[in-house]
Amino acid sequence: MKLSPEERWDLIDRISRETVSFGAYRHTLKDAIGELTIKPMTGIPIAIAVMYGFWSVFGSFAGFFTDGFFVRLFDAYWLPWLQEVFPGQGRFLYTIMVDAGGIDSGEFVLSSNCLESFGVLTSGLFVAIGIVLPAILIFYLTLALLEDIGYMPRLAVLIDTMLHKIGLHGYAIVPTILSLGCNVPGVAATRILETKKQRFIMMTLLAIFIPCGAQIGIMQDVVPDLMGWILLYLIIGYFIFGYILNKVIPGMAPEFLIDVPPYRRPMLSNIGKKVFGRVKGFFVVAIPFVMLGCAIVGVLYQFGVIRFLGDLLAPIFVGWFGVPAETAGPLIAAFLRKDLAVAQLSVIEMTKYQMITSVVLVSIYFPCVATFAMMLKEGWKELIGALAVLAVTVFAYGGLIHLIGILLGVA
Amino acid sequence: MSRIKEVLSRIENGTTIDTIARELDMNRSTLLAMIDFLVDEGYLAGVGCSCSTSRLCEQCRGANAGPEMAMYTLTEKGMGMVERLNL
Repeated sequence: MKLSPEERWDLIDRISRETVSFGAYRHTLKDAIGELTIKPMTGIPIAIAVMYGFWSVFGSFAGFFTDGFFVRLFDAYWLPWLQEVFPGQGRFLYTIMVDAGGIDSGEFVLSSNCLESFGVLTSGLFVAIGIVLPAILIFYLTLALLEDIGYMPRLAVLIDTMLHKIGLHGYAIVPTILSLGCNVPGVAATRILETKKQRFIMMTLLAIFIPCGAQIGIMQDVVPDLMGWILLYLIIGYFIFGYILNKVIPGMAPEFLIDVPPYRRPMLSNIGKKVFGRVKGFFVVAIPFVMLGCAIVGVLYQFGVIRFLGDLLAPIFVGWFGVPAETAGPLIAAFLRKDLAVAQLSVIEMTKYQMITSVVLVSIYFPCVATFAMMLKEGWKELIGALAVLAVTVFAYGGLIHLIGILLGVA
Repeated sequence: MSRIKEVLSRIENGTTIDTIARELDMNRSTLLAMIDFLVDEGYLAGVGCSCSTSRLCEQCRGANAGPEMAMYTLTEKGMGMVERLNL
């Protein structure tokens, strides 16, 4: 007698019920915690608490090392030493490598801190090592801990329903959170998504709405009191534009059956391996781009290209986005270095709302060069599509933020 | 409806293995065996990182660096079966 698969499984089920007896399963503390973190009623408040803890540790650790150690090291020792020993003060190479300085009564004036000197060896190194490195280190350390404990799969299950509204599934939280460290591994991790539609949506949202560790680190350093508002605007944009992309782009977003692994004690070797690999990846991939971007921005400033483009585009920045004309230069420079652009914005006089708008614009403006290269690797069609979406998003969302400001009477 | 069909129809809405086991009062091991069978028969497909040979993949997930989450999705054959069940 040949049985169909259904009949075979019914038979297996019947036989196992009659022959196998299972003892009463005792719930352990680990099971109870596992259930609490996965059920929406308890899981969402826990997720908010975990993310808040993550953010607090990140802010405190990065702030402690940047302000307490690197700012002193770079501003009190490194910058004055370089200003003194580097030859040709005020000349082209000096302004690119050490200090762009300023002109006061026709005299070349040296900068007093690394953030404002805009040299490759001063601002470039300070941003990369003094601001970004502590931020990246603590970010990846905390993330590796959450992954190794087994919390990330639970967060993925918890957020699955919400992410389905934007055509993704719960595991899209992995590239999203990874991108908060560096967009490059974030874009690479979009390969865990199943369909072309999902990968395109994820890559586009990462490139536009997820600021990397370098940006977050410098925002935390120069505009700490506005961080909440800036992140809120980015999160809202992530979901609004994700929803629109899901409706517009043809394709499927399949549902998943997930096997959640149990919680376990984190292993130091695993965490060390992950943190080392990711920080090394950041050093190899991102730091050369920080230095190169810094040099290119310096050269473009010296040749007046950024000033020219800034003047040309200033009416759009002032009229459409509602930010001061002086922000045009940094916003143009943001094409190459978003972190430096935030530093440049911080020295321009503007209202709180204009500062929020400017920093949000810098974040959603254009992926950094390293991310751009990574997106190109994923396919040029996807890259062009993502850039088209990006252009529309910048204008639509930038204008919307300005409109909100006008309606609230603060813009 | 047979157990196997019930399992398939629940996957359509996205869920976890533990939830199905609880809802259908099944032993987890039996359910895992059933899922393996569904994968072998082409109703389900395992979803995993497709960049296991990439250096970047090592950074994003990392072999032996944390508990891995197994994921499965309905194949066309599986979706066809679910559609027939819903009729």
